[in-house]
Amino acid sequence: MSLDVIGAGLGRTGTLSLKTALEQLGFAPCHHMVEVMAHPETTEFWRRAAEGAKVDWEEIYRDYRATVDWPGCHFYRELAQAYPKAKLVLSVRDPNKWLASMKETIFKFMAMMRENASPEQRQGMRFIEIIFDEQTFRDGYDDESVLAAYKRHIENVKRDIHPGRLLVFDVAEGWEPLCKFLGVPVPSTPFPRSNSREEFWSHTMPAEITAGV
Amino acid sequence: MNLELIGAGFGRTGTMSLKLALEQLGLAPCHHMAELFSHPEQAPVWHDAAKGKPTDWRAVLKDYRAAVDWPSCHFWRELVETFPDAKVLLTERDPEAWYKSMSQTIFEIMARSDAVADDPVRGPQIRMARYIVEEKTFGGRLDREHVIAVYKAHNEAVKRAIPRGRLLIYDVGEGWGPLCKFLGIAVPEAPFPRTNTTEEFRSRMVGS
Repeated sequence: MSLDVIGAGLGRTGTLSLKTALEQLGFAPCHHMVEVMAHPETTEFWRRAAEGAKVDWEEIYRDYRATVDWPGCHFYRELAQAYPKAKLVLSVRDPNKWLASMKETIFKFMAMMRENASPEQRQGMRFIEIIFDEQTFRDGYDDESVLAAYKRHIENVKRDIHPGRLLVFDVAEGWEPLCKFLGVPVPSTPFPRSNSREEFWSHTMPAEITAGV
Repeated sequence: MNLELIGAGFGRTGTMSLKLALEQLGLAPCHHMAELFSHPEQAPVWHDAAKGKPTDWRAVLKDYRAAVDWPSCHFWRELVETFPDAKVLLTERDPEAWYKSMSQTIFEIMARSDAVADDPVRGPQIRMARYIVEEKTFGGRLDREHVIAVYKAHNEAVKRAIPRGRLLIYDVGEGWGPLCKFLGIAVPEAPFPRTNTTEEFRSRMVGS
């Protein structure tokens, strides 16, 4: 297997809907942060990648056909090189809605980790701290800096990726542009919509609580 | 925003249906333990309040127009005092049925929660809920007789303390009628929400 689709859009731009959509289109499985949470043994790989070490992407993506969301989106340039035949999808949404969503989900989650996590738990999250604190949001977490980081990321992707290889996509557009870009027929099922703020938090429920009695 | 309705009834007395009903009637958002799932940062505030730390209730509930279920029902006296214009609603149901529901939902989750006490996001929430429900409400005794006695004493205390005109004693089985009359709001056309049955709670939280 090899990556056919690389999602370059940051988290909270409809990436879980996009993951589900890509999987329905046959690009399955599709990597996403929820996959890292399900495979904590991969966090060391992501820490090395975040620190800039040379990594073998096949260690992670061997069994995947697509990737969206963090951490993959952070490495869109490296992945575009490592998988030269893959197409790139840049998921975008209204910047202010994205900011509000980030603040209610990922940033809040990170703040709770910083406050309450044990050293071992912190180590497992180290890769995302490096990506966020030292790279994507290095200018700070005030609204202005975060919005600027969002816009900068979009500009970088558009600058770095050849237009013929890139789809700038809002999940609200549904199947049509995505299917056309990937050269696959439009399914008859509705485009998946998921990972509302409430759903985000349901993914943070520990297995001990949700597991069967 | 100003709190307009205080739900004094314990959890598992139809508080989730009540929350949804109140929100449909415009008293939105309505606080409920479920709010803690998407607002885990609130847990320490409620925990500290239960430990007796002076609490600015207007600040804690500034984004809400109503509050039902635990943790807020534990602080019904404080809320009744802080929000003198808010009405008070006591959800009641048959004590035996209520106890059965409690033991199959909240008590069961709590009994299995030691394993997640260290979870950075859920640990504080579960510790807060256990402290308020197990320790402060039921004094660490979860046997049927004691729990039902506490339930009855709580309901009696609310009825004694709140003047008739300010209090509605309510069973969600009665639907929109008494609730809308009490709040002075027209009855909606939509059916009254019925949700979070023992089966729903268990499939969401307990996994069976």
